[in-house]
Amino acid sequence: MEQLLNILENLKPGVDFKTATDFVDNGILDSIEIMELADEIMDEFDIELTPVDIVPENFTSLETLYQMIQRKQDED
Amino acid sequence: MAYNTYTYVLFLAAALLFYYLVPKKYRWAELLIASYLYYFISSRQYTLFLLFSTVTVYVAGRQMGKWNERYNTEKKELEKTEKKKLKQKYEQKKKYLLIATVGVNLSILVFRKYFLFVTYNLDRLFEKLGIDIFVPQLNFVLPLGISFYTLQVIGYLIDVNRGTVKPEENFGKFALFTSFFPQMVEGPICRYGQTAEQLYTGHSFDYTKFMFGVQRFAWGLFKKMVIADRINALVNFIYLSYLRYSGVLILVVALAYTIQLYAEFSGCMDMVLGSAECFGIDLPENFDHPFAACTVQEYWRRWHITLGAWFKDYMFYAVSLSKPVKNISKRLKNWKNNSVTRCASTLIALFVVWSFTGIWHGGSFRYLLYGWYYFVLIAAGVLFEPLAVKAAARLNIDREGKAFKVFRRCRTFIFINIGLMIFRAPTISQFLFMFRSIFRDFHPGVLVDGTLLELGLDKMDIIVLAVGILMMVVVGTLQVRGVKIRESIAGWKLPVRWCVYYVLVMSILVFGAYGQGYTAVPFVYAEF
Repeated sequence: MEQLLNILENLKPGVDFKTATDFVDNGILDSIEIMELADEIMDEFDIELTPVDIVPENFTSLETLYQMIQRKQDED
Repeated sequence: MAYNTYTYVLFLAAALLFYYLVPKKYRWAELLIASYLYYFISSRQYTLFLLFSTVTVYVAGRQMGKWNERYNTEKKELEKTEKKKLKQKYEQKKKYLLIATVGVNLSILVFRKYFLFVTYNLDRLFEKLGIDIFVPQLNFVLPLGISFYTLQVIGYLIDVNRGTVKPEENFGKFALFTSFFPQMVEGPICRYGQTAEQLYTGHSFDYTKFMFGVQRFAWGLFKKMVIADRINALVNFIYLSYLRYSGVLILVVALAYTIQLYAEFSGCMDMVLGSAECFGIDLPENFDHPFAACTVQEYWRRWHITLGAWFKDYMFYAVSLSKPVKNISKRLKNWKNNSVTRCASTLIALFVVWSFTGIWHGGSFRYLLYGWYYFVLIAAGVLFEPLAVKAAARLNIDREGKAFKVFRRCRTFIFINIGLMIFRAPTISQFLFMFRSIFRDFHPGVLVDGTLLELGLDKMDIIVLAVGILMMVVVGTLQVRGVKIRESIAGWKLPVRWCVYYVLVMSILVFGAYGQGYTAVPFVYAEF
């Protein structure tokens, strides 16, 4: 979780990702930032993300993002 | 049967009457009949193209659904590794079917839309190279709405392939999703998961919703007839004789075209969404006050929203996460790890998306340039954002402050105007000439010395336009501030409310640019 938080804070300094919610709907991350985030996540956690994973539900909070990563790790 | 014609209004009224007369259970069927009737009246034999896309995508979707079901049944008793193998097997099958179906449907669109563009340029290339080959140059008639409904059905099939929506089993219902007459000519490009159920449900007559629909339709008609079609005279006049004009007048025409296109396309969407609302159906919004955008990226989230969202969901993410792009990105990062290479996959995907967004508008290099123009602006925004943040901090600029917001809005508005100059100019060389002309003979005095009255508009036209644009700006500003205008009007006393309706309708009838002295202006996006 800490690793993920670091990625998010580097990507968008100044946002409190521990409390922030609905990253997409609230305009915290735009589509380009989401792709940059996906890129970092794939590199750091050694998982493969597909367009099916890029849905607002997976970007609701730090927790849902982390759950997606864990799910992908289990699948692999 | 354009939306601003009496025939459309009569057709809509008849479709509405029958819709509310038939039992709720069959209302979707009435919509389907009306939609195909509308399409057949407008396009005759080209209805076959729509039918072809509907049949192929329906069949492919059903087959994918069957494979999804089979996978779900067969996987139950399998181990993890076997399950993975089975999944791969079905994924592969679905992938081939998706490629084949999308390929066939796209081929029709590409062939009919870009044949002349490709053959004409091939012919010129061969001529320059001194190769004597005959290249047939045929200009095909484009089936009505093909650029919109093709994207819509492809989106549906990708969603079925991804498993995010269940395939429609009823062919008639699916045919309605692809052909719903108010939206199939110019969009919005609907998502199956968002719209289909609303189309299939028989809605009860709701007076408030019906009146909201009528109001929205009338407001759209006002934007189209009073503003867009009237300002068209000025835009056409200068674009046709652009060699004679420079300086402020080029700025005026650039601004005029931005207003024209916005009034026309957003007006058209108001008519489309208003028509659908009369049936009790909420279609997705295609505009969200685009000129309030602080960045070009934000502008594209507010202008032609459903097209941008389509490209984002079905192309941008797919290209960014594709293996070839990932490999290129990895190689670049291994070679040199800096801010540019870290964004490589995003930049490649942006380039692909903006090339397609540009060329989607038609077979012309200027549309390609239009797409690349936005690619350069957005890519520059991505690459220079950290630098901009640092510079603002050094210069003590509050990036969240009001003044900076105004500056960013103005800057974005200028970029939009330049973009639309590329979009409107018939050729790239005309755009370049006109753009350079802005900096030549710059005399603001032409705005008041009567020159404006020699550009296809008389005093009355200018007054009507000024009032119309002011109304559009006031309505837009109120909406941005959260005022729900139609709801507010609904709360007014009956005589006042009907006075407003009367004034709106009369202003369209009296001040609309139609009849003698005006040329009927077709909807720009209906030609895509």
